[in-house]
Amino acid sequence: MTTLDHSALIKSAVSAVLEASKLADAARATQVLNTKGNLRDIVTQTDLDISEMLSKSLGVTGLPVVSEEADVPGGMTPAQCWVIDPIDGTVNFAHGLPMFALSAGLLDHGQFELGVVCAPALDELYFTLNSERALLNGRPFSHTHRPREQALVAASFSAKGSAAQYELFEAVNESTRGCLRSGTAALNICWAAAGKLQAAYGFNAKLWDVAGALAVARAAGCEIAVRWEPNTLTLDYCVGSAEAVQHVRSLAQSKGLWN
Amino acid sequence: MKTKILFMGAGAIGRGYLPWTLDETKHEFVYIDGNQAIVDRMNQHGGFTTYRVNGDEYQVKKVAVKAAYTPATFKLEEHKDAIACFFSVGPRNVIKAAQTLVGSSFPLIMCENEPDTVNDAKRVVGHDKVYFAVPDVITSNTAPANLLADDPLAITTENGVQFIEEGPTGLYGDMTFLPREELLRIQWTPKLYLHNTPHCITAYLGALMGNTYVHEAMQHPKAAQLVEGAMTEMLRALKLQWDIPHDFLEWYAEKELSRFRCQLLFDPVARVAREPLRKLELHGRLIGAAQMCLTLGVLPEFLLKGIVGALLFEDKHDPDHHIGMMRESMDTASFNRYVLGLRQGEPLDLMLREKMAAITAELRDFAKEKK
Repeated sequence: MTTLDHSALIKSAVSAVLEASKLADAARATQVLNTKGNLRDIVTQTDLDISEMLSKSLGVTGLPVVSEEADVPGGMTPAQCWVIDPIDGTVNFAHGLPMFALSAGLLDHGQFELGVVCAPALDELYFTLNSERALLNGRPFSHTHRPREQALVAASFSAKGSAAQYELFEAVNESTRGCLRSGTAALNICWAAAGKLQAAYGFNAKLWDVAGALAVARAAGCEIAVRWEPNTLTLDYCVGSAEAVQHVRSLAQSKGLWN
Repeated sequence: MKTKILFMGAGAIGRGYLPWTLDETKHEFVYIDGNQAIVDRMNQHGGFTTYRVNGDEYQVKKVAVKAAYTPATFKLEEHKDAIACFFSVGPRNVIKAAQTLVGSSFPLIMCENEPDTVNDAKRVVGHDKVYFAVPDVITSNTAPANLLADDPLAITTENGVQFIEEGPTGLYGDMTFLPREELLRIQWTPKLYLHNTPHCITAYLGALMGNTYVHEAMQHPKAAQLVEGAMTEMLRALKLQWDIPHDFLEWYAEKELSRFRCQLLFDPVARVAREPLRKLELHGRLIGAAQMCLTLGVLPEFLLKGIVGALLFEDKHDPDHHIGMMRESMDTASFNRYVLGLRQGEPLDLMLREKMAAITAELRDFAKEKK
C-alpha cells in the first residue's frame, strides 16, 4: 500500500475544484446536452468540460481519477484514486437553481480520506484539512449530534427510485422535522456534516455523488453508515447525528432497503 | 461576609486584569480554566501575582484564590451562590465554556471582545442575565522572566478602565456601568477600530519580523509608520461615521499608540496575532474596518497591508495555521470569495486582487528588517 501525502493532495484538490468551479460560474442555467436513460439523469456541456479539467489537474498527482462522465476501467474502483463529480445536481444547475456542487474525494482502500465540495452559487466551500478536520469556507466545524425529534433529514433518490424508497421518504418525513429532496447528495451530506441537517441518506448512490462529501462528514465527526455494492461504484449511505442515522436505518430495514 | 465571583478563564484578562478592578475585601475569587497546570498552581499556592504598569515600574498584587477548577471538575451546585461570573475565554470558546454554567441564574459578564458572544451565552445558559463588558486595557498573558521565576503564573497588565453593560448588581471595585447602547457606541466602537485593528496589525508585522513582543515591532520605524498609517485611516473614518467627539477619538488613538510602545507590558505577538481567521471576519477589525473606510471615502492603504499581514501570519501552534495552506491552494479571487466572504467585484475584492502581490513582497521585506 502506498502511503499518500494528504497535505499535498488536499492542496491540489482544493486548487483544482476552485479552478473548475469558474466554469460553472460562467455557465449557469445551461442547456441539457443529453439524457442518460432517465429524465432526471442528464448531462450538460459544462459537466463534460469540468470533468475534463478536473481529470487533468488531479491526474497530475499520479493517482487515477474516476469520474461520472468517464468510463471506469474494468468497471471497478482502483484501491487509491480520486473520485470526482463535475456537477452533483445537474438538473438544478440546468434549471438555474443554486443547489449544485463540484466534488472531489480521495478514496484509499475503501476509506473516504480527503474531500472537497464546492457550491459556487451558494459561496460554500467544504473541504477536509488533511483527513482530520472539516472546514467550511476555511473555518473548522464539527457535527453536533441531535436527537431524532430535532432532526431535519434529506434524501437522495437514485436515477430510478423504487417504491420502497418513496415509502421510506414518507416515513422519515412523518417521524422527523421533515425530509427534503434537494437534488444534490453531496450538499445534503455536507449540510448534515455542518449540522444544518441532522441526517442525509441515499440508496444505490453512485460513488462520485458522495465520495468528497463523505470525507467531509467523517472529518466532522458524523455517524456514517455505508453499504457497498460488489462493484464498489454504488453504495447506500446514511450520515449525520447518531440517533437520526439509527432511526433512518431502522425505517429502511422495515422497508427491506437496508438488511 | 465576602460574596463569591467566578472567573471563566484564567488568561490575560481573567488573571491579569480583572482582579485589579474588584474589591478583594468584599469578594472572594473562584477560577475555572481548561489549563490543568494553572488550576493546580492556583490551588497549591492559594493564588498568584499580577503586576500593573505604573509609569516606569510595576505595582504588585497578590491575588487570593478561594478555589480553582477545570470545567470537568467544576460543580455548579456548589457555586450557585456566586453573584457573577466574568467570562474571558476567547470568543470561539464561549459556547463550550458556557455549557459549564447551564442551570445557573447569576449574571454573566462577557469580557470577550465580541458583542455577539452575549447572545451565544444566552442561548446556552438559557437566561437573559448576560452582559457585555469592555475592558479598555492591554494585558499580557505572561511576564518577564525575572517575575516568572518568582511565580510561574505572574502576569503583567496596564492600568486600564473596565466598562460594563448595566444590569449586574452587588459588584464592588473600580468599574463603570453604562447603558448598552452607550457602551457599544462610545466604548466598543473606538476599541474595535482604534485598539483591536492597529493592535493586531502591529502583531502581524512583529510576526513577520520575528519579534516576540508587540513593543519590539513598534521599535522598527517602517512598522511603526504602517501602524500609525492604519490608525490615521481608522480615525478619519470614525470621525466621518460616528457621533463620537473628535477630541475623544484623537485622545484614544494617541493612548493606543503609546500602549503599543510600552516596554513593560511584554505583550506577546503570538497572543495578539492568534486566530487570524477570526480577525479577518467580514464585519471585524480588519475586513470590516477596511469596508467602513471604503464606504466613507477613506482609502484603506495601510489597512490593506494589515489584512495581508494577517494572511501571511504563520504559527504552527495557532488554530488557524491552515491559513497558509489555503493561501497556497487558492487564487486571491477565490480566497476573497470563500474565506473572506467578499462579493466578487466589490471594491475591497478588487483592491486585494490588484495589490496582493506587491504588498506581499513589501511585507516579506519586513522579515529582513528584524532587529
